[in-house]
This record gives sequence, C-alpha cells and structure tokens, in this order.
Amino acid sequence: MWDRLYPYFLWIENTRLGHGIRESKWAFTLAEVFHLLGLTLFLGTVLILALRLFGFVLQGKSVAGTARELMPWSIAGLTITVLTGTLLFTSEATKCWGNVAFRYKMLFLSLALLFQFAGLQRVARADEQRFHPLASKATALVTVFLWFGVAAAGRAIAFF
Amino acid sequence: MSINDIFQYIDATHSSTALRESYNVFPIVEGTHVISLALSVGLVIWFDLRLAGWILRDQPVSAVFRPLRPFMLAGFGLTFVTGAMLFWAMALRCYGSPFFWAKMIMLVLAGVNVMVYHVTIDRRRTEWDETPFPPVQARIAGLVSLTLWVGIIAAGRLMAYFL
Repeated sequence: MWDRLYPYFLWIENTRLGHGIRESKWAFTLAEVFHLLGLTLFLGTVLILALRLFGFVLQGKSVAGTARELMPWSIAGLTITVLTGTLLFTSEATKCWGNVAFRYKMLFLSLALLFQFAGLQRVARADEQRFHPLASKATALVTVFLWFGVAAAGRAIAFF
Repeated sequence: MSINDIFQYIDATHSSTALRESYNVFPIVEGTHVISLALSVGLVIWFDLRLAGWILRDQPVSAVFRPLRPFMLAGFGLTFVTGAMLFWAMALRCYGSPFFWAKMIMLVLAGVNVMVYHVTIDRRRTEWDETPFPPVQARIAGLVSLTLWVGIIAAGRLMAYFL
C-alpha cells in the first residue's frame, strides 16, 4: 500500500513549490520556525482545555465556555502548523516516504485529529451531564498523549 | 578568564563530549526540550494574553495565573534543564552562533520583564484583578513577554539549524 504511494510523493516533491522551497535559502528554515510557533500555540490550547476538563484550572468558567474561547486560537495554531508542515513535506516528500518516524507521525496525526474534533471538542462543548466525567477525562488524556506523540514522532523525522 | 575560555572548558569536559556523541541521549534531550515548550511557553501565553486583555476577560487575572503556575513552572523547569544540557554539549558551537546570543539576551529580558512586573504593577493587583482590561503597565508586560517568547523560539530554532 505504502509502496504504491511513492509516485505521488515523487510528484509532490517535483512540483514548482517543492523546487522553490529547496532552492530558497530561507523558506525551509522559516517554515520550521513557524511550524514550531504554531505547535506551541496549538498544544497550549489542548493542554489548557484538558486541564480545565480535569478541573485543575479556570474553575470559575464552564468547560464549554473555555472551549469556545480557546477555539479561534486553537484553530489558528493548528492551521499555521499544518500549513507550514505541508510546505516542509512538499520540499522533501520522498525523504518522508522512506522515513519510519514520518509514518508514525501520520498515524498519530490521524488519530489525534479524530480525538481532537470527535472527542475532546465534543465532550468539552456538550452539556456537563451528557458524558460521564471519567469518559471526558479519559478522552482528554488520550488526545493530549496523541498530540505529544505527533510532536515526538515529528522531531524524530530529523533523526532517521 | 574570558567567556570563550569558559565555553572552551565546558566543551572539553568529559560529560560534554559524551552527551554530544551519544546516539540516544542527545536526541531525547533535544526532543524533550522542543516538546516541553508546549508546557512552558504554551501555557505562559495564556497568562500573557489575559494580562494584555485579549482573552478570558470575564476571569480575574489571578484565576488564570494561580492554577496554571505549577504546570508552567514544571514546564519551564524541564525546558531549562534540557536547554542547559544541550548548551553543555554544544558550548563552543553556541559561542560562535549569533542566534545563541540573541536567544540569551531575550531570555534575560524576559526574566527582567517578569521581575519588573512582580515588583511594580503586580503589587497593586487587588485593585485591578477583576477588570477586563488591566492597567497599561500590566498589558505592556504581557505583550513584551509574548513578543520575547516568539523571538526566543525563533532564535532557538534558527540556532539549531545553523550549528
């Protein structure tokens, strides 16, 4: 299955965008800087929402209210991270194809996105009685661990 | 003894060489340094944004700061310890990196900003704790902190790229 994807990875790498990033002196580095800044912003919102679900912070504000207020920052951070990540990927797609850490990152990323939007966001915005507190907390914990898994696997791409 | 001598001494220690050349420890320390950013800077952002009057305006400043403090402190502890280890392993290369010095200057400024905030406007916080928009001096402290942390992360990433 993964082998059959290789031509597409090769095609992406050879697009004008891919060439442009590789040939530019600063594009890759700047994309990396913003990838890290976006990630810090995004993971911060995930952590705060999880801490709120556990009742550790912002007890004066409802979970749903906290989720609503964090939403634009969370989306902004995630958008910056995904966009810059796509740019980084485009410039070295075939390297990523052969990189075991990249495969784990994509696996964790799919699961993390699923847990983020179908899990954490859902339990946080629902009525407080709808989900068992233990289920909400477990969802938050799994989501946090998945995102940290994405970050760790992402960092590891450079080491393989 | 110049700064260069000190950095050279550190770089030549047995522990520095061992850390620099280790297959597993160095990547783990580096990875932890980057990921712990979420816990340190990722959380301090929210206090800064509250001070700036941009978010959580219906919550007292202290209600944002106090419960976050243990988590932020743990995060900063982890970031600083792993950062110090990375420096220890790469002392001479750091010496020659303009981004390293830019990062150190911004870290000192961030520390000064925290101290100034705590010994001045924070002393009178009971007067403005619940206002949606804190006084100008507190808002400036929040924005200065945000700006410095963005700069510190950027300089840190650039530094690693050019080492």
